[in-house]
Amino acid sequence: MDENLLQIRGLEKWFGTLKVFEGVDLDVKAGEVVSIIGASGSGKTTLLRCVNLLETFQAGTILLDGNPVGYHEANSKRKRFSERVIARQRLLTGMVFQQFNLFPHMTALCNVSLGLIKVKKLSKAEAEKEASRWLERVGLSDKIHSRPSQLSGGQQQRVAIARAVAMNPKILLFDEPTSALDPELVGEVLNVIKQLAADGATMVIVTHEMRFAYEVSDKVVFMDKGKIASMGTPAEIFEERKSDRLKEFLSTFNS
Amino acid sequence: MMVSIGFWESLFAAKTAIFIGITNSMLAAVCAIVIGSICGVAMGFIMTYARKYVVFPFRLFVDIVRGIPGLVVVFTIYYFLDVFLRSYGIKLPGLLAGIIALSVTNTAQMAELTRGALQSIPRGQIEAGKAIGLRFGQILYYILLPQALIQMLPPWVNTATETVKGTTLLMLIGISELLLVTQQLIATNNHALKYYCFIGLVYFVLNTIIELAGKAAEKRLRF
Ligand SMILES: Nc1ncnc2c1ncn2[C@@H]1O[C@H](COP(=O)(O)OP(=O)(O)OP(=O)(O)O)[C@@H](O)[C@H]1O
Ligand SMILES: [Mg+2]
Repeated sequence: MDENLLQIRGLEKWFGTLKVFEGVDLDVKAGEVVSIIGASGSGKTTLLRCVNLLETFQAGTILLDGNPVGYHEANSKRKRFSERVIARQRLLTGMVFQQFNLFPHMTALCNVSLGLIKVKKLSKAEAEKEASRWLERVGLSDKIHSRPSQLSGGQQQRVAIARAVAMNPKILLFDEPTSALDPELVGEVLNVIKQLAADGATMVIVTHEMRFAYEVSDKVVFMDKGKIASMGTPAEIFEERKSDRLKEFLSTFNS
Repeated sequence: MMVSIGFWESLFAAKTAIFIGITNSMLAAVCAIVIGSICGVAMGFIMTYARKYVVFPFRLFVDIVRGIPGLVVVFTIYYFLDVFLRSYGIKLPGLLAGIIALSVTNTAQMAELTRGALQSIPRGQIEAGKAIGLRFGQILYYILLPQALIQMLPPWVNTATETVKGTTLLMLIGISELLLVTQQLIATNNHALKYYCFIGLVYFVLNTIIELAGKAAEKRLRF
């Protein structure tokens, strides 16, 4: 019960000669909602991408549900798993991107059902039933047959959320899910995420929506220059503001 | 010897020859387009996603073929195949050499079109595919290929119509395509201008059909 669903230890990541992480440690328990905040370039996106295995990392371990992902030890050498294994490990996480990244040539229904059919091997009928159920959950039952180009940004992001949750991942990763949206469309997407949180989903959310982070999170992580600079409950982070860097960062957001 | 009969009469008398000419032209064009599209799309994928040393020979092929006149490609391939097959005592069928030559040109064009189309697909598409657990082959087939094909449709139509026009080059290696047949007919009468207008119309109609089909497909597939 108390076990960590995601456990990151000593993560180090280089882009060429640029060191992005200096030994990052992070734990996420089942059912927990963790928000990551921090200045641009502090490594928030890269951290999520490492967990989703979209990036390589040079040292440290990431355990998902108790098992190492991405790399394993063979003859006391660190080796990356084969692409086939990595594809399977990615199913433990669901990713929602800042730019939605919906497949533009497919309807909302096909976007959500593709993985169910090709990866989960459901029949087309089962997959479409499951996909429409999720599209309904995000409030898009009337847009099932629409292409992404016929949807608003908020609707597209909700399809993307449905696509991620439909695969039934253990952890959902959100990278600034509302940053590409017009202000009036932010609310509908945040509401969907809140609903998922209320239903007990485990989530890691990179966001600049401080009020939302305050309301939805069990734990808030403040990243600064590739390190976790502070971590605590929303009250500890947003009200107590223990470090100067955190104060400075939060003061750039009003309220 | 000039026979003074009217143009329509002379055209009607030559209907079999003209039919053969059109058939040969169309056969060459269709084969070159189909072969060129299949090989070119495959080559475009390799050039976009394979390792550098694998890409290199394909890159070289595409640049060379695109960098020299179509007629030079036709002659080169014709004489190369001719010499090669003759050493085995086989006579080279001219039409086959023509089809191969046009296919080579087409493959290079299509490869470049495919590469361009694939490169313009945002990286996020591959990542979204990976994020739902698709393997690379599945991402290629279900996500990248359809998007590339839709995007390639307009330049593809362009290449196809160029290929139809390019079949006229094959007269120079002695293939009885429409232009050569027509020239042979003109030599026996005095209707040169009318004959050229007539086959001009034939090429125009063929290419218009291709363009319309392309437009219709584009309309249906656009996202
Ligand atoms: N593909 C890449 N190649 C080289 N450097 C990169 C790459 N991606 C990110 N970086 C660098 O890594 C660092 C962390 O970037 P990252 O995108 O993780 O920051 P972030 O916290 O998500 O910022 P933002 O709030 O702007 O999204 C930055 O210095 C960035 O320039
Ligand atoms: Mg980012």
